[in-house]
Amino acid sequence: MSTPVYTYRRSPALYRLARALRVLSAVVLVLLILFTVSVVYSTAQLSHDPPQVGSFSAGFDTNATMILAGSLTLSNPGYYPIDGLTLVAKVDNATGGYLGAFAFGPESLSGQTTDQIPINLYLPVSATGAGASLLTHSQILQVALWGNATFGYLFPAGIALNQSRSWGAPFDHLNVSVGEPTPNGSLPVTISFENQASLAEQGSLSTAVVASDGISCGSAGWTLNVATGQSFSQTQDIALTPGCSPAGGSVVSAYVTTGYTVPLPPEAIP
Amino acid sequence: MSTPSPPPAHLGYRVPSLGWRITVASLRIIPLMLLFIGLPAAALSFLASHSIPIPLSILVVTVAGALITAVSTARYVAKPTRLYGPLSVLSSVIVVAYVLYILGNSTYAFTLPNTNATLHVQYTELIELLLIVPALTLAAGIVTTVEDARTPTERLPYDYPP
Repeated sequence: MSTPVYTYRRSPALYRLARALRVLSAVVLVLLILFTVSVVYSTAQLSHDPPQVGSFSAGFDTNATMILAGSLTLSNPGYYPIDGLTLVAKVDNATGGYLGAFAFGPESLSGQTTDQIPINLYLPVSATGAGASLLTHSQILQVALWGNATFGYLFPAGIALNQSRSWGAPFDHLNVSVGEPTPNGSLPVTISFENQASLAEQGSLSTAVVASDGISCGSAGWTLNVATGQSFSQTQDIALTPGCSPAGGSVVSAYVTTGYTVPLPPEAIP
Repeated sequence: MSTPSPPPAHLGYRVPSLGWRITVASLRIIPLMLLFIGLPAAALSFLASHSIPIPLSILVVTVAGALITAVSTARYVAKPTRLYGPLSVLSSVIVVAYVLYILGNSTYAFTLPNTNATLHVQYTELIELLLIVPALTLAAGIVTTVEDARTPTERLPYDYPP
Protein backbone atom coordinates (compact mmCIF):
# COMPACT_ATOMS: atom_id res chain seq x y z
CA MET A 1 0.00 0.00 0.00
CA SER A 2 1.50 3.29 -1.05
CA THR A 3 1.72 6.23 1.41
CA PRO A 4 -0.28 9.24 0.22
CA VAL A 5 1.75 12.35 -0.52
CA TYR A 6 0.46 15.43 1.22
CA THR A 7 1.33 18.88 -0.02
CA TYR A 8 1.69 21.70 2.54
CA ARG A 9 0.47 24.94 1.14
CA ARG A 10 2.52 27.84 2.34
CA SER A 11 0.61 30.92 3.42
CA PRO A 12 0.58 33.74 0.85
CA ALA A 13 3.44 36.23 0.85
CA LEU A 14 1.28 39.24 1.74
CA TYR A 15 -0.29 37.34 4.60
CA ARG A 16 3.13 36.36 5.91
CA LEU A 17 4.37 39.94 5.56
CA ALA A 18 1.40 41.36 7.45
CA ARG A 19 1.78 38.75 10.18
CA ALA A 20 5.53 39.38 10.45
CA LEU A 21 4.90 43.12 10.82
CA ARG A 22 2.34 42.51 13.58
CA VAL A 23 4.65 40.11 15.41
CA LEU A 24 7.52 42.57 15.10
CA SER A 25 5.42 45.41 16.48
CA ALA A 26 4.39 43.22 19.42
CA VAL A 27 8.04 42.31 20.08
CA VAL A 28 9.10 45.98 19.95
CA LEU A 29 6.27 46.93 22.32
CA VAL A 30 7.17 44.20 24.80
CA LEU A 31 10.88 45.11 24.68
CA LEU A 32 10.13 48.81 25.23
CA ILE A 33 7.83 48.02 28.13
CA LEU A 34 10.40 45.72 29.74
CA PHE A 35 13.16 48.29 29.23
CA THR A 36 11.06 51.13 30.67
CA VAL A 37 10.01 49.08 33.68
CA SER A 38 13.64 48.10 34.34
CA VAL A 39 14.81 51.73 34.07
CA VAL A 40 12.05 52.93 36.39
CA TYR A 41 12.89 50.18 38.88
CA SER A 42 16.61 50.92 38.59
CA THR A 43 16.08 54.66 39.07
CA ALA A 44 13.78 54.01 42.02
CA GLN A 45 16.74 52.37 43.75
CA LEU A 46 18.24 55.87 44.07
CA SER A 47 15.66 56.63 46.74
CA HIS A 48 17.27 53.98 48.97
CA ASP A 49 20.62 55.71 48.71
CA PRO A 50 19.97 59.43 48.12
CA PRO A 51 22.79 61.94 47.46
CA GLN A 52 24.54 63.00 50.64
CA VAL A 53 25.97 66.47 51.09
CA GLY A 54 28.81 66.41 53.59
CA SER A 55 29.40 69.21 56.07
CA PHE A 56 31.11 72.29 54.73
CA SER A 57 34.25 73.79 56.14
CA ALA A 58 35.02 77.47 55.65
CA GLY A 59 38.47 78.94 55.23
CA PHE A 60 40.32 81.89 53.75
CA ASP A 61 41.96 81.44 50.37
CA THR A 62 44.09 83.45 47.99
CA ASN A 63 42.79 86.44 46.01
CA ALA A 64 40.63 87.69 48.89
CA THR A 65 38.24 84.78 48.79
CA MET A 66 36.72 82.48 51.31
CA ILE A 67 36.42 78.88 50.33
CA LEU A 68 33.51 76.69 51.29
CA ALA A 69 34.74 73.15 50.91
CA GLY A 70 32.46 70.18 51.05
CA SER A 71 31.61 67.04 49.18
CA LEU A 72 28.67 65.39 47.54
CA THR A 73 28.42 61.61 47.67
CA LEU A 74 26.45 60.11 44.83
CA SER A 75 25.49 56.46 44.69
CA ASN A 76 23.99 54.68 41.73
CA PRO A 77 22.69 51.37 43.03
CA GLY A 78 20.74 50.79 39.80
CA TYR A 79 21.71 48.79 36.74
CA TYR A 80 21.93 51.62 34.22
CA PRO A 81 24.52 54.39 34.12
CA ILE A 82 23.72 57.96 34.96
CA ASP A 83 25.16 60.00 32.08
CA GLY A 84 25.71 63.69 31.52
CA LEU A 85 25.62 64.44 35.21
CA THR A 86 26.05 68.17 35.75
CA LEU A 87 25.60 70.33 38.80
CA VAL A 88 25.60 74.10 39.07
CA ALA A 89 25.19 76.05 42.28
CA LYS A 90 24.88 79.83 42.51
CA VAL A 91 25.13 81.76 45.74
CA ASP A 92 23.59 85.19 46.32
CA ASN A 93 23.91 87.23 49.45
CA ALA A 94 20.97 88.37 51.56
CA THR A 95 20.36 91.40 49.35
CA GLY A 96 20.43 89.38 46.13
CA GLY A 97 24.00 90.27 45.12
CA TYR A 98 25.80 87.53 43.22
CA LEU A 99 28.65 86.02 45.22
CA GLY A 100 29.90 82.97 43.38
CA ALA A 101 29.08 79.73 41.63
CA PHE A 102 30.11 76.13 41.54
CA ALA A 103 29.91 73.89 38.49
CA PHE A 104 30.54 70.19 38.11
CA GLY A 105 30.43 67.80 35.19
CA PRO A 106 29.41 66.46 32.82
CA GLU A 107 30.34 63.12 34.32
CA SER A 108 29.03 59.58 34.15
CA LEU A 109 28.26 57.33 37.05
CA SER A 110 28.18 53.65 36.18
CA GLY A 111 25.64 51.31 37.68
CA GLN A 112 26.38 49.83 41.09
CA THR A 113 28.99 52.49 41.89
CA THR A 114 29.48 55.35 44.32
CA ASP A 115 31.37 58.55 43.65
CA GLN A 116 32.39 61.46 45.82
CA ILE A 117 32.38 64.87 44.20
CA PRO A 118 34.34 67.69 45.83
CA ILE A 119 32.45 70.95 46.10
CA ASN A 120 34.65 74.00 46.40
CA LEU A 121 32.78 77.24 46.39
CA TYR A 122 34.90 80.40 46.31
CA LEU A 123 33.26 83.52 47.68
CA PRO A 124 34.88 86.96 47.26
CA VAL A 125 35.30 88.77 50.56
CA SER A 126 36.95 91.96 49.40
CA ALA A 127 36.37 95.15 51.34
CA THR A 128 33.94 96.33 48.69
CA GLY A 129 31.38 94.65 46.46
CA ALA A 130 28.69 92.07 47.12
CA GLY A 131 30.99 89.82 49.09
CA ALA A 132 32.04 92.46 51.58
CA SER A 133 29.06 91.75 53.78
CA LEU A 134 30.22 88.15 54.18
CA LEU A 135 32.97 89.37 56.46
CA THR A 136 30.95 91.57 58.71
CA HIS A 137 27.32 90.42 58.55
CA SER A 138 25.97 87.04 59.46
CA GLN A 139 23.14 86.44 57.05
CA ILE A 140 21.02 83.99 55.14
CA LEU A 141 22.55 83.13 51.78
CA GLN A 142 20.37 82.08 48.87
CA VAL A 143 21.72 78.97 47.17
CA ALA A 144 20.22 78.03 43.80
CA LEU A 145 21.06 74.55 42.58
CA TRP A 146 20.55 72.98 39.16
CA GLY A 147 21.28 69.39 38.28
CA ASN A 148 20.89 67.46 35.05
CA ALA A 149 21.42 63.80 34.23
CA THR A 150 20.27 61.15 31.81
CA PHE A 151 18.93 57.93 33.29
CA GLY A 152 18.88 54.69 31.34
CA TYR A 153 20.14 56.28 28.10
CA LEU A 154 16.69 57.66 27.17
CA PHE A 155 15.43 59.69 30.09
CA PRO A 156 16.99 63.12 30.66
CA ALA A 157 15.92 64.67 33.92
CA GLY A 158 16.76 67.84 35.75
CA ILE A 159 16.15 69.35 39.12
CA ALA A 160 16.22 72.95 40.24
CA LEU A 161 15.93 73.97 43.83
CA ASN A 162 16.53 76.97 46.01
CA GLN A 163 17.86 76.72 49.50
CA SER A 164 18.63 79.14 52.26
CA ARG A 165 21.85 78.63 54.19
CA SER A 166 22.87 80.59 57.22
CA TRP A 167 26.24 82.26 57.02
CA GLY A 168 28.29 83.14 60.06
CA ALA A 169 30.49 86.18 59.46
CA PRO A 170 34.07 85.97 60.78
CA PHE A 171 33.95 89.66 61.78
CA ASP A 172 30.26 89.97 62.58
CA HIS A 173 29.21 93.47 63.61
CA LEU A 174 32.70 94.80 63.02
CA ASN A 175 32.95 98.17 64.62
CA VAL A 176 35.98 100.44 64.33
CA SER A 177 35.70 103.59 66.38
CA VAL A 178 38.20 106.33 66.97
CA GLY A 179 38.44 108.57 69.99
CA GLU A 180 39.79 112.05 70.38
CA PRO A 181 43.51 112.48 69.53
CA THR A 182 45.57 112.54 72.73
CA PRO A 183 47.94 115.39 73.60
CA ASN A 184 50.92 113.12 72.92
CA GLY A 185 49.82 112.73 69.26
CA SER A 186 48.17 109.37 69.26
CA LEU A 187 44.68 108.27 68.29
CA PRO A 188 42.78 105.67 70.33
CA VAL A 189 41.19 103.11 68.00
CA THR A 190 38.74 100.51 69.29
CA ILE A 191 37.97 97.42 67.25
CA SER A 192 35.21 95.02 68.19
CA PHE A 193 33.48 92.12 66.47
CA GLU A 194 32.24 88.62 67.05
CA ASN A 195 33.55 85.58 65.22
CA GLN A 196 30.49 83.70 64.01
CA ALA A 197 32.32 81.75 61.34
CA SER A 198 33.07 78.09 61.70
CA LEU A 199 36.81 78.78 61.71
CA ALA A 200 39.03 80.13 64.47
CA GLU A 201 40.76 83.40 63.67
CA GLN A 202 44.44 83.16 64.36
CA GLY A 203 46.79 85.80 63.07
CA SER A 204 46.81 89.55 63.36
CA LEU A 205 44.72 92.53 62.54
CA SER A 206 46.74 95.32 60.97
CA THR A 207 45.16 98.74 61.12
CA ALA A 208 46.23 101.99 59.54
CA VAL A 209 44.91 105.49 60.05
CA VAL A 210 44.75 107.08 56.60
CA ALA A 211 44.31 110.79 56.07
CA SER A 212 41.79 112.13 53.58
CA ASP A 213 44.56 112.62 51.02
CA GLY A 214 45.52 108.95 51.28
CA ILE A 215 48.65 109.37 53.33
CA SER A 216 49.06 106.95 56.21
CA CYS A 217 49.19 108.77 59.52
CA GLY A 218 50.07 105.72 61.58
CA SER A 219 49.44 102.02 62.00
CA ALA A 220 49.19 99.33 64.63
CA GLY A 221 48.63 95.62 64.88
CA TRP A 222 46.40 93.44 67.04
CA THR A 223 47.11 89.84 67.76
CA LEU A 224 44.05 87.72 67.04
CA ASN A 225 43.15 84.39 68.55
CA VAL A 226 39.39 84.36 68.43
CA ALA A 227 37.60 81.05 68.51
CA THR A 228 34.24 80.45 66.89
CA GLY A 229 31.49 82.24 68.78
CA GLN A 230 33.88 84.48 70.73
CA SER A 231 33.83 88.27 70.82
CA PHE A 232 36.78 90.57 70.38
CA SER A 233 37.06 94.14 71.64
CA GLN A 234 40.31 95.97 72.14
CA THR A 235 41.51 99.55 72.11
CA GLN A 236 44.95 100.63 71.06
CA ASP A 237 46.55 104.05 70.74
CA ILE A 238 47.98 104.55 67.27
CA ALA A 239 50.84 107.01 67.18
CA LEU A 240 50.19 109.60 64.49
CA THR A 241 52.84 111.10 62.25
CA PRO A 242 53.41 114.72 63.32
CA GLY A 243 51.35 117.10 61.18
CA CYS A 244 49.17 114.35 59.79
CA SER A 245 45.49 115.01 60.45
CA PRO A 246 43.17 111.96 60.49
CA ALA A 247 39.99 114.05 60.32
CA GLY A 248 37.98 113.12 57.24
CA GLY A 249 40.17 110.11 56.65
CA SER A 250 39.52 106.48 57.44
CA VAL A 251 40.70 103.51 59.42
CA VAL A 252 41.77 100.72 57.10
CA SER A 253 42.10 97.23 58.52
CA ALA A 254 43.16 93.87 57.24
CA TYR A 255 43.13 90.43 58.74
CA VAL A 256 46.51 88.78 58.22
CA THR A 257 46.80 85.06 58.67
CA THR A 258 49.25 82.48 57.39
CA GLY A 259 49.53 83.09 53.67
CA TYR A 260 46.48 85.32 53.30
CA THR A 261 45.61 88.94 53.83
CA VAL A 262 41.92 89.75 53.92
CA PRO A 263 40.99 93.42 53.67
CA LEU A 264 38.14 94.55 55.92
CA PRO A 265 35.69 97.33 55.11
CA PRO A 266 37.23 100.77 55.94
CA GLU A 267 35.69 102.92 58.63
CA ALA A 268 35.39 106.65 58.04
CA ILE A 269 36.80 109.05 60.62
CA PRO A 270 34.45 112.00 61.24
CA MET B 1 3.26 3.21 10.70
CA SER B 2 0.87 6.05 11.30
CA THR B 3 1.38 9.42 9.74
CA PRO B 4 0.18 12.60 11.46
CA SER B 5 -2.58 14.21 9.52
CA PRO B 6 -1.39 17.28 7.71
CA PRO B 7 -3.61 20.09 6.55
CA PRO B 8 -5.42 19.24 3.37
CA ALA B 9 -4.06 20.49 0.11
CA HIS B 10 -7.31 22.28 -0.58
CA LEU B 11 -7.60 24.68 2.30
CA GLY B 12 -10.91 25.34 3.91
CA TYR B 13 -11.82 27.66 6.70
CA ARG B 14 -14.41 28.03 9.40
CA VAL B 15 -15.35 31.59 10.16
CA PRO B 16 -17.05 32.03 13.54
CA SER B 17 -20.55 33.42 13.39
CA LEU B 18 -21.16 37.13 13.77
CA GLY B 19 -22.87 36.53 17.13
CA TRP B 20 -19.87 34.59 18.42
CA ARG B 21 -17.44 37.26 17.23
CA ILE B 22 -19.50 39.98 18.88
CA THR B 23 -19.56 37.98 22.13
CA VAL B 24 -15.79 37.47 22.15
CA ALA B 25 -15.19 41.09 21.11
CA SER B 26 -17.37 42.24 24.01
CA LEU B 27 -15.26 40.19 26.40
CA ARG B 28 -12.09 41.69 24.91
CA ILE B 29 -13.39 45.15 25.76
CA ILE B 30 -12.74 44.54 29.47
CA PRO B 31 -8.94 44.07 29.30
CA LEU B 32 -8.67 46.70 26.56
CA MET B 33 -10.46 49.30 28.66
CA LEU B 34 -8.32 48.37 31.62
CA LEU B 35 -5.15 48.78 29.55
CA PHE B 36 -6.03 51.94 27.63
CA ILE B 37 -8.27 53.77 30.09
CA GLY B 38 -8.18 52.23 33.57
CA LEU B 39 -4.44 52.04 34.21
CA PRO B 40 -3.45 55.42 32.65
CA ALA B 41 -6.33 57.22 34.34
CA ALA B 42 -5.49 55.57 37.66
CA ALA B 43 -1.82 56.58 37.34
CA LEU B 44 -2.77 60.16 36.49
CA SER B 45 -5.29 60.30 39.34
CA PHE B 46 -2.62 58.99 41.70
CA LEU B 47 -0.29 61.85 40.69
CA ALA B 48 -3.08 64.40 41.02
CA SER B 49 -4.04 63.09 44.46
CA HIS B 50 -0.45 63.72 45.57
CA SER B 51 -0.62 67.35 44.38
CA ILE B 52 1.62 66.56 41.41
CA PRO B 53 0.39 68.21 38.20
CA ILE B 54 -0.41 65.61 35.56
CA PRO B 55 1.37 65.60 32.19
CA LEU B 56 -1.72 64.52 30.22
CA SER B 57 -5.37 65.36 30.52
CA ILE B 58 -7.45 62.52 31.98
CA LEU B 59 -10.21 63.46 29.50
CA VAL B 60 -7.88 63.03 26.53
CA VAL B 61 -6.60 59.72 27.88
CA THR B 62 -10.17 58.48 28.41
CA VAL B 63 -11.41 59.59 24.98
CA ALA B 64 -8.35 58.18 23.19
CA GLY B 65 -8.56 54.94 25.14
CA ALA B 66 -12.28 54.58 24.36
CA LEU B 67 -11.63 55.27 20.66
CA ILE B 68 -8.81 52.73 20.46
CA THR B 69 -10.93 50.14 22.29
CA ALA B 70 -13.94 50.76 20.03
CA VAL B 71 -11.95 50.49 16.80
CA SER B 72 -10.07 47.45 18.07
CA THR B 73 -13.40 45.78 18.88
CA ALA B 74 -14.85 46.63 15.47
CA ARG B 75 -11.66 45.33 13.88
CA TYR B 76 -11.99 42.02 15.69
CA VAL B 77 -15.62 41.61 14.63
CA ALA B 78 -14.75 42.53 11.03
CA LYS B 79 -11.70 40.29 10.82
CA PRO B 80 -13.19 37.87 8.25
CA THR B 81 -14.33 40.75 6.03
CA ARG B 82 -12.57 43.20 3.76
CA LEU B 83 -13.10 45.90 6.38
CA TYR B 84 -10.40 44.31 8.55
CA GLY B 85 -7.50 45.96 6.69
CA PRO B 86 -8.96 49.50 6.66
CA LEU B 87 -10.00 49.17 10.31
CA SER B 88 -6.46 48.06 11.16
CA VAL B 89 -5.15 51.15 9.37
CA LEU B 90 -7.67 53.37 11.19
CA SER B 91 -6.74 51.83 14.54
CA SER B 92 -3.03 52.43 13.89
CA VAL B 93 -3.66 56.01 12.75
CA ILE B 94 -5.55 56.71 15.99
CA VAL B 95 -2.70 55.21 18.03
CA VAL B 96 -0.13 57.24 16.05
CA ALA B 97 -2.11 60.43 16.70
CA TYR B 98 -2.37 59.55 20.39
CA VAL B 99 1.34 58.81 20.67
CA LEU B 100 2.13 62.07 18.84
CA TYR B 101 -0.04 63.90 21.38
CA ILE B 102 1.94 62.25 24.19
CA LEU B 103 5.17 63.16 22.35
CA GLY B 104 4.13 66.81 22.36
CA ASN B 105 3.78 66.62 26.14
CA SER B 106 6.84 64.50 26.78
CA THR B 107 8.69 67.12 28.78
CA TYR B 108 7.19 66.98 32.19
CA ALA B 109 8.01 69.64 34.77
CA PHE B 110 6.50 69.87 38.19
CA THR B 111 7.25 71.11 41.67
CA LEU B 112 7.80 68.39 44.19
CA PRO B 113 5.15 68.58 46.91
CA ASN B 114 6.22 70.31 50.13
CA THR B 115 9.54 71.44 48.62
CA ASN B 116 10.74 74.29 46.45
CA ALA B 117 12.39 71.85 44.07
CA THR B 118 11.28 71.69 40.46
CA LEU B 119 11.79 68.43 38.63
CA HIS B 120 12.02 68.10 34.84
CA VAL B 121 11.64 64.68 33.30
CA GLN B 122 11.85 64.09 29.57
CA TYR B 123 10.69 60.90 27.87
CA THR B 124 10.71 62.13 24.28
CA GLU B 125 13.11 59.47 22.99
CA LEU B 126 11.06 56.66 24.51
CA ILE B 127 7.88 57.97 22.88
CA GLU B 128 9.70 58.34 19.57
CA LEU B 129 10.74 54.69 19.82
CA LEU B 130 7.20 53.80 20.79
CA LEU B 131 6.03 55.24 17.46
CA ILE B 132 7.65 52.22 15.80
CA VAL B 133 4.85 50.02 17.18
CA PRO B 134 1.84 51.71 15.49
CA ALA B 135 3.98 52.37 12.41
CA LEU B 136 4.50 48.62 12.03
CA THR B 137 0.83 47.79 12.62
CA LEU B 138 -0.10 50.54 10.17
CA ALA B 139 2.11 48.88 7.56
CA ALA B 140 0.55 45.51 8.41
CA GLY B 141 -2.93 47.01 7.98
CA ILE B 142 -2.02 48.41 4.57
CA VAL B 143 -0.61 45.04 3.47
CA THR B 144 -3.80 43.28 4.61
CA THR B 145 -5.94 45.85 2.79
CA VAL B 146 -3.96 45.24 -0.39
CA GLU B 147 -4.17 41.47 0.09
CA ASP B 148 -7.95 41.59 0.62
CA ALA B 149 -8.37 43.82 -2.43
CA ARG B 150 -6.44 41.39 -4.63
CA THR B 151 -7.80 38.09 -3.30
CA PRO B 152 -10.58 38.71 -0.80
CA THR B 153 -10.63 35.33 0.96
CA GLU B 154 -6.97 34.43 0.63
CA ARG B 155 -6.09 34.84 4.30
CA LEU B 156 -9.20 33.21 5.76
CA PRO B 157 -7.85 29.62 5.78
CA TYR B 158 -4.93 30.86 7.87
CA ASP B 159 -6.89 33.17 10.15
CA TYR B 160 -9.70 30.63 10.62
CA PRO B 161 -8.31 27.17 9.97
CA PRO B 162 -10.97 24.45 9.86
